[in-house]
Amino acid sequence: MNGLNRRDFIKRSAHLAALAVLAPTVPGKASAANTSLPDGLAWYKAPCRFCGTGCGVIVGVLDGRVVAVQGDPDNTVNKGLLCAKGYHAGMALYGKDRLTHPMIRRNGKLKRVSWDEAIDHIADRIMEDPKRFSIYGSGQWTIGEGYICQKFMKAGLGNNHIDPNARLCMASAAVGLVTTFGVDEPSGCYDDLDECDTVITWGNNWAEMHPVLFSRFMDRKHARAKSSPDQLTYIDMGTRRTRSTLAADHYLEFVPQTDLAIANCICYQLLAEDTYDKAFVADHVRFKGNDGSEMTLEDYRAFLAPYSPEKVAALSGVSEEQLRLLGGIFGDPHRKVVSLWCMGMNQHTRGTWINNLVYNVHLLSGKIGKAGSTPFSLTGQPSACGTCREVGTFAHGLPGGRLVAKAEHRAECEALWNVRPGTLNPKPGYHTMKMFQALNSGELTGMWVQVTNPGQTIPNLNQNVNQLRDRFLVVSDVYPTVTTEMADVVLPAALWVEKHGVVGNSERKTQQWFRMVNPPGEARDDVWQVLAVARRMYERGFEGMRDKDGNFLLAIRDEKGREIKAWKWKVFNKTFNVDRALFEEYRPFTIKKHKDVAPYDELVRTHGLRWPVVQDSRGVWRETKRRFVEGEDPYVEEGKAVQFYGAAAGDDRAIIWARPYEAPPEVPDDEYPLWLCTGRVLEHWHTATMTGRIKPLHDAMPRAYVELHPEDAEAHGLNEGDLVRITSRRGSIVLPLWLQGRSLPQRGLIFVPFFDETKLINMVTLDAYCPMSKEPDFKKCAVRVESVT
Amino acid sequence: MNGIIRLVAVLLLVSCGARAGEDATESAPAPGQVAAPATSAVETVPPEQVEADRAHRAGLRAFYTAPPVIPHDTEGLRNQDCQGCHENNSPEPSDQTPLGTPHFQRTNCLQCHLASEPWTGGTVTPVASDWVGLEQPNEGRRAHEAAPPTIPHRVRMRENCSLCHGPESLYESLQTPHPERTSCQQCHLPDAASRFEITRGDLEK
Ligand code: SF4
Repeated sequence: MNGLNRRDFIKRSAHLAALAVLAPTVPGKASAANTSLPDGLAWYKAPCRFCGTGCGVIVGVLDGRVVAVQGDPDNTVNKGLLCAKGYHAGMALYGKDRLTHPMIRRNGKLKRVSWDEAIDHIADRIMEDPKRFSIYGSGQWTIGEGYICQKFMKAGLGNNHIDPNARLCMASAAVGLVTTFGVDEPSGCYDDLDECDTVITWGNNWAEMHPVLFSRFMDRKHARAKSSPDQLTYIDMGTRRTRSTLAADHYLEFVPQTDLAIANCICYQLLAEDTYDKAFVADHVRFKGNDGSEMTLEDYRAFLAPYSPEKVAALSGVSEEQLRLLGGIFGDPHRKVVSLWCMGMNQHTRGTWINNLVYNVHLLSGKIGKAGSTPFSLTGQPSACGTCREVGTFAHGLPGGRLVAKAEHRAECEALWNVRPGTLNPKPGYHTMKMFQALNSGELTGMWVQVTNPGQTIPNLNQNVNQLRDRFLVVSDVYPTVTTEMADVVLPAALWVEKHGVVGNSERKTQQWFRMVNPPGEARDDVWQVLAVARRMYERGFEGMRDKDGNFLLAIRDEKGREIKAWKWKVFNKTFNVDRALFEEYRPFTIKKHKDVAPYDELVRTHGLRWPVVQDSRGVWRETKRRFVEGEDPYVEEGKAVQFYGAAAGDDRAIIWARPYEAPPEVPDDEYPLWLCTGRVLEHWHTATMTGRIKPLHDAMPRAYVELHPEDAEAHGLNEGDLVRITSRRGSIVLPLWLQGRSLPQRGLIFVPFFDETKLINMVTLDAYCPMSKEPDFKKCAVRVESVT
Repeated sequence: MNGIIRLVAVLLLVSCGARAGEDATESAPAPGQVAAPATSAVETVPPEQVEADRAHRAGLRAFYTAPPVIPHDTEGLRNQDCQGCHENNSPEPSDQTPLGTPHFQRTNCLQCHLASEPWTGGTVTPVASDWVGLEQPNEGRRAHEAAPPTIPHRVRMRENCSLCHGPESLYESLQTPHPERTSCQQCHLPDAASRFEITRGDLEK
């Protein structure tokens, strides 16, 4: 190293970086030696604000401000570890451009107004056209936030046009679970990563997207490699090499969309080799054709005929040998296998099918309902499960796994909400894609957006959000975003530990936190915002905001049943925990489908509990690690071992669906010769409205880029750093080329992250969606690239 | 002679610490205690150096409990490459390199340690933030003159003391004056003030 010794080199480069990297911590105090932490510093527990992993953090608060975050060692999810986003989560509160007062657009400009004015204005506009108003929410809604919006819309406006951004994220996972098991959400849990011997990722870069879970398995795998001849195996299946691939024992690179065929190929081998789990299949499984007709095992075998390893190798680009490796692993009765997936399978025009197909593989091989063997659908957002799936904030849903289309379900909700029978509308509202299209056409006239940023995330933006500016758009958010730019009313919201909250992660774990600091300026909780608008409508005599006794529909009551004036900010903010009241109001809904969440006070006491949480004979609230498994899940009857009690037919059997391979709707051709795949990066959460304001995260990953295979780059005459125009049939953007990047796409595929609000890749993406889950495919469309430098 | 006195002092303190647990720092000096405190490197290194070392360490973190950023070029680096220089397969203090990681059992380095310069090259627009982070406590406390200082920082994921305090430490001001001793926590206890007890975060009242 040119005469510099290694230490000096490191030290010097470190010094240079230090100057460039981070602001001093406490200005002016750096020189004084301090021997202990400051008086008044307190640490509080919370779940991380960002991804669906749901790590526990401990937040350090001093003088009314968040000053530090560390991993919670007592949380079973992460056992003290976090990822870079989680560690720096507290910094998300302090971007200089926080929204701190309500604004209404007048003559094209957003002007500061009082809360009263803003609430009046929103109430007026909704009352003008309540049936054509909509709410677009989020998997980042807390349970209380989702619940109150659900009640406001479905009971208050009698209108089902409420859908969350989770539609873009895990709708296929939910519909996959419901169609296979009759009930939503995974049966396994993260502990299975500690007990399995093999992990297979289906198009999932968990090293970046669920890093704490990746570490949980990888640290174990590395330790095992040093201490035992029994090695753990990690197999990555994907369309590009990622950080996860680097840690894999085997990498199976497939042509986009052929995951459908690969899953069927595994089942083909299990039957052809006679290695399927006969007892499990006999006891717990039924077969159904793609049209829902009953099938025998022999019919199913015939259905699988086109999926031999020879044929699937030709289609998928995965070698026969690798396909047989998968077949062998699932056919080995001693192997304990966890399959993991997230957006790769969910954001798929056959997202529901591919979810069903991976369940087929695990059901046929009996690798489910056992410690260390499970299919496990990872969630993207911190409460996509807790709020969207459990509270049912979808256009077709009601709380606790109920459906608006079912009279019995509506009646139960009407009773719990104390509204007149017939109040709830039996017709499902518009799902996300239809909702935006209906806003464009004018069929819907208004929308309230909370905790998300559709102006950046809806696919094919040019087509799908171009009229949003002309509709009545209310946006509650914490920073200016692409969406607030289009809004008529902007409401400043409280963020994360500035409010009370409860969320639910991927493994059915519900976690609670208390407000630790006050929101800045006049920012207020989303829950309060909805309450205040509803109350205003009630005061003006809007019938829907009355229950059947004439009382305020969204009345918040204390334990003695007395109504609290929670629509008054002072009361809401200072004297009463509305979040607790809402959670306890919601809790009875969760029992019907055996999704019993824990009482609020149990959540306060613990570091999260996995549902169903049921009291044992001694009165202790017990969580359930594995659903459907005797001895773990209290709802499984004695002697059943495994009982898929959600089954719609009431026979306790899960369904193996004969889902075929189907070509994607848009494939590369001469004009648009490349596949485009979009996704996230470790540093950023969602559209980076929070992480982009966190210096260490932003500095590491300040802008979006495009990755190409080096041979494709060469073929197009492109070099590192060149500006590249990416064009699809729908739109085009320019991005710098990153060849030495962290992923290596397969030939013929390019990758672009979607976090950058200055580089809207969703101008280019395709809005085709899974016909069952209505989830769009952000992973595959046809584009061309050209140099603009 | 000096060594013997020190040894006596250590033994006395150990027995004292064993009785008082983590609150040893607050207990009175053992009766008859005569030893002078061990000279720490901090006292022999020029104050400017101590200050520069401190500022340097603080500069790598956004706040006390944040993982430090990577202070060198990361172009093309992957997790596997980190271990080339930072690997440290042994928890034994004698077996360290100055660049070892204090948590060798963790393997996904880039999960927590961020690049300090953009992975993608080019200039970075500055972030406008009002963030003020918690400062790291710099020095341990001594219950009395002869007592060994407490550990002023978190120990979790930094169980391997010699990485930062051994003779090979990057920071001269952190080096122990008695590298021959290897059971650090026998005498240096985590500071009571550095424990992280969760308060019931209830601002209702
Ligand atoms: S972003 Fe996800 S993995 Fe990272 S700390 Fe938060 S919850 Fe954990």
